[in-house]
Amino acid sequence: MTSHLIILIIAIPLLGAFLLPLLNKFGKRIKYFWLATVLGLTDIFSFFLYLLIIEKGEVVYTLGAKFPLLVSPQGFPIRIILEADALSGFLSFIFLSIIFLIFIYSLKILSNYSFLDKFYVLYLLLTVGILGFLFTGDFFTLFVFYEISSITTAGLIAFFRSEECFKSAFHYLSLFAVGSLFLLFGIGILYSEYGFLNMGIIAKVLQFSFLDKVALSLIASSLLLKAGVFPFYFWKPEAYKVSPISAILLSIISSLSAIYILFRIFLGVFGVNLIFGWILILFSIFSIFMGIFLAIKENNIKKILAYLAISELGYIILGISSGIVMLNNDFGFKAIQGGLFHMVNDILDIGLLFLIIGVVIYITKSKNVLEIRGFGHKYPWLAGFFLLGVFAISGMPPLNGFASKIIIYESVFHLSPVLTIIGILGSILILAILIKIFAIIFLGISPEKYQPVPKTAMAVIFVFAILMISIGLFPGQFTSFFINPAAEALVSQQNYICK
Amino acid sequence: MQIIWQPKIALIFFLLIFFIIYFFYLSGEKKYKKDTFQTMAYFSGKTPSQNIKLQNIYWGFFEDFKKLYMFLAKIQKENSNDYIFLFILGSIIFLLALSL
Amino acid sequence: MINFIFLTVIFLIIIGLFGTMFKKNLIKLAMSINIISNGVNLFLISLGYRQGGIAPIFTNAPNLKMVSPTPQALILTNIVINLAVTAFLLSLSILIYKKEKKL
Repeated sequence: MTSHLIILIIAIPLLGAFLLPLLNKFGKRIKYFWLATVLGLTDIFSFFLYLLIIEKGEVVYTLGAKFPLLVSPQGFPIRIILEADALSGFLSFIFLSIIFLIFIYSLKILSNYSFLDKFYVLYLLLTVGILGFLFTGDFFTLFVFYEISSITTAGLIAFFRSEECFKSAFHYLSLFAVGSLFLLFGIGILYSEYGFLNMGIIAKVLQFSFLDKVALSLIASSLLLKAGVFPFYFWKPEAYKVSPISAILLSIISSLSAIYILFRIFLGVFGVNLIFGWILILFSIFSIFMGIFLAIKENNIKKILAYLAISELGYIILGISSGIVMLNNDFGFKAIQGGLFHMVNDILDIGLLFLIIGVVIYITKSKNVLEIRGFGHKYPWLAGFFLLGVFAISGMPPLNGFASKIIIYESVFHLSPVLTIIGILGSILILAILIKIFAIIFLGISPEKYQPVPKTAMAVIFVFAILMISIGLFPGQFTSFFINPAAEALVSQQNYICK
Repeated sequence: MQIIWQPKIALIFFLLIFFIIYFFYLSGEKKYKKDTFQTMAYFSGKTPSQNIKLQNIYWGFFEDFKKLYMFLAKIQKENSNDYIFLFILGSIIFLLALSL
Repeated sequence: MINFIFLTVIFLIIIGLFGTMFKKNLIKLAMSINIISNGVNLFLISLGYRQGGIAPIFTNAPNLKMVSPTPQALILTNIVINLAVTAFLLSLSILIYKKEKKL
């Protein structure tokens, strides 16, 4: 059983997604019970997979046969390969736990809308897409899972079925169709040169000709499009303005896993390349800056939080890519650790802010988020957690944002002090923007009607806040247990090729 | 490079500040009547004639950068033609920068 | 000797990209994405050609070289994905037309 864990993690949500509409005539509780079972089982399996990876090193799974007969000249099997090592195991465990918590949150918040079973089918399929990004071992499965996640996200954007939603879904899907065709073109160029599609084989036989650089740039552009950083960030505010909160958080998780697979390809397969590192550092600085610059003039809260998500992804890429450039120092490794640590903190912080905004919209039932005033008097707990999230995302000391951001600041300082200055300025401006939102929503004259906050949503917000505070108070233990083996697995190319 | 980080000291510091603030809270007026003139805000000057909204709080910043904002709004006009055009432009820039 | 297949591929992709960048009609956008996908499929399947090869079917096969079947599997997947994307885009354009009364 333990030898089949990877494929079970991908197959169980897929099976659950396809069986869900069949349970329609048994009533609501059976459907929710089935969803909770599917997501919970996947979470437990990913935890076992992570324990297995800590024992054994790296887990490689070839689909169809345990020791396949068709073997390339270098000794690699020619099959569809799934690979999990310390970094992807750790990320899959954390992302699946957060997906489970978001499902519990959306039980009550979305319960007034119709077509809910179709929403949950798309939700499970997007989970499959995210897991496929994390576990893929060759390029063609990367393309298939890229398409799965873009089509399902387009379906989730159009969930509320207003005119704006359909337009946004159309723009999103047409952009991502072109992006995925670029990805396929780049993979086709690589296949035409070397004849193999596995990442491990291409890592061994690669020569850096001009066609390879063309393929590399095409693959990188489409993965950066999915991530949503500097030149390709413009789909994010429009898509996040009209979609439900659970879909927004899943889209942020898929952006993080796209960043993971980008760095896996470019450190594991293509090797350390200084020009690529410097280009990514430039893109990340611009995305930090543009995210904040465009958010100051906005008034719609979901749009402001979308721009904030762009800035935080800029911090992550700044950390990891400056680690690539400085890899012969000791500080390069610390920078990569900071970037990976910030992935976890980012999804927790922005997740907390989005969840509270979702509760606010559910209670007031208004689409126009500018008109909400004075929430803080009747709901002091919500205001408190929002303030906690604001302090965490801008890097105040006992919380987790400070722990990861100071690792990034200190190690990037040795590359160039300008980067640290821009990072710190970015954090201060993020605080400025978020204080404005806090003052608009939570201070002022209180509304008359008082409706209790749904308990499941409050429980999930509470869990997020507890996780944030505990990671903030004990960052050393968290880093040494989870992130050090993950960063080692990212950096060492030799470990990736030999299995 | 070592980050010296003691969660116990941070917790003690936090509890200290919390107790100071709680002490200030306890030493306030205990008896007051709600919803009379005692709880209304005090304007020490002219009352504002028009209700200025809080969302315009960064108006000065916005005014200074108006040209840049208008330029950006002209480029990105929210239709898929512009999105795909910017995507192709970005990937060509990436390709040119990588092949140097 | 000019390689006609790669010229056709580049031609198709450029036509498709011009369609997506400069046309505002929703159905023209969806069909342009279909054209780009056909161009990429043509590129992939032409990678498997071996000189003087036959179709890769084992029953009653004469003893010659076979054309490589791996890209044929890749483009089958791509054709199905492209079908899903085109169907989704066209149904979204129907829904937009109902609300807006113009395309």
